[in-house]
Amino acid sequence: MALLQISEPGKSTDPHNRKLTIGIDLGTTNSLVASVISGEAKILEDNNYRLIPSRVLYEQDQILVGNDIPSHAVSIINSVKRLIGKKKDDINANDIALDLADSNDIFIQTPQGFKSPIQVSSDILKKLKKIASDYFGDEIYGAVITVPAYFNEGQRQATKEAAKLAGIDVLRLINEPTAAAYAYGLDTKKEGVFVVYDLGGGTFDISILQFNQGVFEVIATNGNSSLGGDDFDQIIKNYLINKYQLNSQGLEEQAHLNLIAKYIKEKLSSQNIFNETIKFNNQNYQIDISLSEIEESFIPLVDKTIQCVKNALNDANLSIDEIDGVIMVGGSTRMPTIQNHMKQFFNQDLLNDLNPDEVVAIGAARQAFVLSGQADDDTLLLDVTPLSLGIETMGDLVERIIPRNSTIPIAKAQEFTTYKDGQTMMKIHVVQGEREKVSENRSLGEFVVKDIPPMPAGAAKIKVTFQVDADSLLTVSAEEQTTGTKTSIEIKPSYSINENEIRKMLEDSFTNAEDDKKFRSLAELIVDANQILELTEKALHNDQQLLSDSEKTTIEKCMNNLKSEITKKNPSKIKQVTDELNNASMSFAQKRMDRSIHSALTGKNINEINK
Amino acid sequence: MEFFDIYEIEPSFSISENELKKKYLVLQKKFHPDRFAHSSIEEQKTALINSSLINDAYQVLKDDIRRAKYLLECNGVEITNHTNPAFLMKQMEYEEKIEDHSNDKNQLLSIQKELQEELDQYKDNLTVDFDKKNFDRATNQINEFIFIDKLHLKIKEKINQLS
Repeated sequence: MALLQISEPGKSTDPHNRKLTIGIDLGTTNSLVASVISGEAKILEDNNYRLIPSRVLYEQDQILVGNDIPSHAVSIINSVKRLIGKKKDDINANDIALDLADSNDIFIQTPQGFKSPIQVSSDILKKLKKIASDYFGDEIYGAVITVPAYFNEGQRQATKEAAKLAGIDVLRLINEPTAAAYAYGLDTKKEGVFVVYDLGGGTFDISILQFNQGVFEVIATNGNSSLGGDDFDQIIKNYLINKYQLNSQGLEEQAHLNLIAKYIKEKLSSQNIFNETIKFNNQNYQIDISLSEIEESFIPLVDKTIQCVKNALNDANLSIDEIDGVIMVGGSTRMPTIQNHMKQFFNQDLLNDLNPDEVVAIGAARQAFVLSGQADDDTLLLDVTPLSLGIETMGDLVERIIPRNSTIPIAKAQEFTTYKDGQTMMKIHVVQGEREKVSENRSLGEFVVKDIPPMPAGAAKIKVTFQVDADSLLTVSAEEQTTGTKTSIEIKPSYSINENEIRKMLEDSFTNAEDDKKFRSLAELIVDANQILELTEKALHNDQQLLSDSEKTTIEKCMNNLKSEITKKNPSKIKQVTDELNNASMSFAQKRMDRSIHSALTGKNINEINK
Repeated sequence: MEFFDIYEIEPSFSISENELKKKYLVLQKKFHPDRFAHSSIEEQKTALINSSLINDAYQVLKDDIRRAKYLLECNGVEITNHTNPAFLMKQMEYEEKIEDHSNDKNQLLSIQKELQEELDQYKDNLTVDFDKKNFDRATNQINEFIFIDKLHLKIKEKINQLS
């Protein structure tokens, strides 16, 4: 196959036809939105706040996001990025101080019903989009959204879905460290090999890039999508609880302590001793913590990041002395413990020129501007797949089709064959990860190739093609070569399918509740109807002499109607006929009452009369 | 020879890595989906196919072993795994040597140098074999090359662990 020809992309330079693009850094703790304005990437502020806390508060009648949430509010959903694209099995439920729906899919209970992490993320994205459209007073054409380089397929798909739900046209998902390197590279114009050390609130990424001839090429990436600055906060929090014997029972106390811990971490990033009075549980505590007394507890976390760095260097086939610069990204990299260890590890000064909190959003904004075709530079980002992609073969083994760190987009095909004589179907189970065994990797989904013509084992040829696009999203297709039977699926993370399922389940339970209620009211109506039938029958038996013939006929007709309606079990009909019987027997009841009074006056007791 | 055609390089084992890389960047700058993010769906699809192909071809061409295998494949030669006894002996000797000196960095470095020289020799041989279309010998050379290359990686990892 030769290269297909396509025309030069048209560049719109018409100022009246401007396309407003934004870059979004959707962080675990904080999010930012930036845009290129008069050729320069700028953070768009939300009432003077540059960082938008990635937190959502659902109330009965409104949704509050970020800085709009009052400080005393409880039941705030924080760090939803740690949950996106994951299943309950993937997380430590004890870490999450939230009510979750009872299924393996993650749903958070709120006053507005169950919310999936995708919905919560989309509410954050809506807020960011609004900040931008308010700033420009115009609609947003498209956005580049950053994700951790080490995000898997499911997490990427989920992020894109959240954007769709927020009404954002995603021009590209790009990796956070790549965005940071892009911002730096465009700033300095220095070519060479760079390492990006990106410690976000809840994720850690390491990427090694080469900047050459205007192309930013990622050579290798590694990381840990559940390790972040928040983990350092937890260490400080536990240290505080122990040292000051704090009562940390209860969600509110935990949330308050998290904030205190984060505050102390930030302070200890610019000073060696923290020495302040803190109000906690209506009590004042004099807190004295020195960096040196707590630094040791950070080491295991720092070591985890260094292991990722080593793995990435190994994959890139590079040694430390070949690194031209180390870019630090994420607010937590301001911590002296991290700065010192990295300086020592790489044996050079670190690049801290750009604000580590903002550099990712800045890079994303520039990339969005370039993608819209409005920029005059021809820089290009070439990124890689963070994890290997493959399929299950016999015996729980993975056959890798696209190895990790392959430059994207990439398409790879491989042929597989049947295991049994006359086999007509084949299951294609797609997995992601570096382990040999299927069960130890992440399952992305499965589909079945049908209608394979019956042949001896090993004769059929099934060509399985993996296509990873520039967003790092995967499509798998399979073709039986002799008949040309094609089957293809866009790999949706399995949570997505189940999300619909659970939504249906939740809806079903509501519908069923409605049914339950209906059933209950039918039963009640029948009980009522039988009661009135019984009473009327008794009265007729005892006192029919009080009635005229026509009165008696009407009552008997109503009784027969009611009896027949009860067998038909139509609630509204039963109610209607019951009322009719009640009306018809009204005068009968009246007459019996009169007689009772009369009897009473003649000295007889009412009970005796009614016998 | 499609991969060579894309890069407008004469099909042969010896190629200039620098030239390949330069062309790779030029091609990606022109065909990458990012260049068509604002174009029609059709153009985006085409860009995806083109860019994937450019990547795939680059991965194959820049790697000595994959490039050699690709050349054989294009010439309709099936790669067999036959290894001659003399080479088997050589394999075992290297394995033992590495095992014996697994904690001695200097010794390992000298074995590494030896292996590197072997690799260079194989590359020279392969260049000649492909130029003369001596595919049988090329097949044999590749099999041995793959083994030495693996040993070279293994020793490199050991050295990294020691330092």
